Amino acid sequence: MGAHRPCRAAGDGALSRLRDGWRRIPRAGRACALIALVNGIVWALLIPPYHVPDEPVHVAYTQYLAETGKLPTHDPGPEYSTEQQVQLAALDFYAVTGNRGDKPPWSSLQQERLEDATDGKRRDDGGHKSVASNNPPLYYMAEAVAYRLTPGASLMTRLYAMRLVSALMAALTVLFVFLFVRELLPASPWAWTVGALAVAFQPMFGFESGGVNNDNLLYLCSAALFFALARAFRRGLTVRRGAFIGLALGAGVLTKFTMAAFAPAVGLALLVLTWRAAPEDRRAAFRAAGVAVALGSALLLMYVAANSVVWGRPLLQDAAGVSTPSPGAGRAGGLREQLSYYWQLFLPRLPFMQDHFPHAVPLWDTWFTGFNGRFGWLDYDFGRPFYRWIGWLVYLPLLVLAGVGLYRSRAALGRRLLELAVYALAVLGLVVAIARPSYTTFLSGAAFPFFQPRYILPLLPLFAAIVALAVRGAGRRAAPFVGTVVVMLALMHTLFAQLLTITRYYA
Amino acid sequence: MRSAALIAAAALATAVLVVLLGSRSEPRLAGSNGVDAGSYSITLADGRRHCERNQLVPADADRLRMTIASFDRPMPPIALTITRPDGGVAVDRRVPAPPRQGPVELPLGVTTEAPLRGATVCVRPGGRKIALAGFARNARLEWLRPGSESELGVAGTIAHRFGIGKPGWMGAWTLVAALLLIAGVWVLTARVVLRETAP
Repeated sequence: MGAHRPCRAAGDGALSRLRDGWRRIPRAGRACALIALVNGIVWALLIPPYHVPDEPVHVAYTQYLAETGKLPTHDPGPEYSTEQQVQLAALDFYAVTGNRGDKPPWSSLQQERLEDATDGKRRDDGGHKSVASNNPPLYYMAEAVAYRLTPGASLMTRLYAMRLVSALMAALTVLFVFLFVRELLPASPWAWTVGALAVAFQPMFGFESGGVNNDNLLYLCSAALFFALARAFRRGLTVRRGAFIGLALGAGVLTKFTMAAFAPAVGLALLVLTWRAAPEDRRAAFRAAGVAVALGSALLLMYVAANSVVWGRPLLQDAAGVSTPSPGAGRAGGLREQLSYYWQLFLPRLPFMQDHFPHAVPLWDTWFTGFNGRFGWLDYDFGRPFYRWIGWLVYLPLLVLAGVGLYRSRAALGRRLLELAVYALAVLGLVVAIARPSYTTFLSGAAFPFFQPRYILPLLPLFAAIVALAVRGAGRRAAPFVGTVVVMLALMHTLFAQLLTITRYYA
Repeated sequence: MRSAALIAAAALATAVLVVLLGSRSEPRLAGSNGVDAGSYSITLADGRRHCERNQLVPADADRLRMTIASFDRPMPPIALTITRPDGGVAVDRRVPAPPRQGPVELPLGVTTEAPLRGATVCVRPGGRKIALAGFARNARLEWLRPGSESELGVAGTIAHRFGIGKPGWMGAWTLVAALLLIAGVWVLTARVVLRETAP
């Protein structure tokens, strides 16, 4: 009995620290998180089961982990359990996905068939190669808790429980975005709220947060990392802040290897922060940087060891994190071609470059239109005129105002150039992480271009920063007006995305 | 005050847009067989019959839409039969020649009151060969509701469909719950904006 007391005291202490920390967050930040949570639940209810990209394989991974305690293997075999296979068939999933003209079951007879079909079917016989099986397990472990907490329930009910976990992650993401913007622009409290709400109502983020997909934890980890870096830049690198940086990066890598794209930026940040520390604080800063590196590495090493010892998988599985042809599968490319491809994947082609995307301009057709709403398995959107209109009427003024905001902050900007360089390196890291597998696919001759709009969402904190800068750029008197307009436009954007989803699947 | 006016304007603009966009009428699906109509995959000689077996004919359907080609010649009349699993005939009609090839609507003569499972749906051209759009040996069948309807006009049907293909404990009420949550998001957002922009 007595032995439990210290544990309980420690637990109570941690809980009260957490409670205090929560109370210290401005009320607006907590409200933004709550709004994101409710919005995520709305999306979870609106999207039919499995109609968030790759949701079937993420559910399969979670189910296999929850049922067997093992991670899926990369061996050939069924990726889904029998229960999930018959469920997907009863939902006409393969006819509806990617095909706007077809709808999920609408008839009560189909509902009866769906409920009968999964009764008594095996739940532990999936777990083979899929596009998710090479992912690290952190997200699926969190989802497995939701799965296990709904015992005896059908897989369908469990899927909705898992979606709630994703919505909760979206809420925390928005909270960290709020805190990140607060660190960036401490003198503009209204801009924190506008930046965070712009992310909460970002339709692709909301859509993703309504489904089972490990990207949701990736977004949370990246938002936490951006916040941790900004906080360390503003307040100095301490052991606790270093630990938070290492934890955010490590947890992100254990969610999806894409997060490793931020490792160079973290490395640069730690170098700058220790170099910038006052001589009397330098030793402490070195220690903090060491903690960050040690914690991030320890998490990765634990995963590597568990892969080998516990789960019998290759040490790092497929560290690319995506199922692309192996680098040697196609023709060999040159450095010049590779750079040109990377450039055109994100920016307009320059006149001297060979055209690698003759049928589309990825900057517009993938990133801009996708960011502003291409839903389902990329099978429905608002239509081209909508994107043109918001490009000219919303984004252009927003960028101009953000430019004005930057100009107005030019004095502070000069002092924070190295911090900006860290964020720029984070962007570059993600760009390379997206472009590399895409280029490999291109070299292999495969027709499917391997990139999707959601891949850039780990940069949502920077999107919020641009929006916040625009509010600041409007000047003190106009900021409430501009901020309110931005929030209401974002809210309308997300509402019409939700109505579009209702018409896509149910009308 | 200015923020309150902006929020009210946004809410009003949203309501107007929802009514305008939701009032547009068009033929609405009652259901389909989920076959992709990617090509004219089935050629049917004059008088030959093509049947799709084990079909679900949904409730509230009064016509069948198929994409049919007549090789750039006038369309022939089409015989349409729908047979119940017990062999009973539910529909047996000779549809006059549709005006042009392409998407063609074949009236059932009745509006189905309840879904029919395990039906066999057959079409037969009378007078000329045709091609049916589908995939491999399956033709795409789309069942349409009577007339043209707006999205707001089928709100009740949307609520019913919303509860299908989900856990058994969900139902039409789930859409109502989702709409209430959306309203909650608007209220919460308005409160945050008003509080944060208050002088």
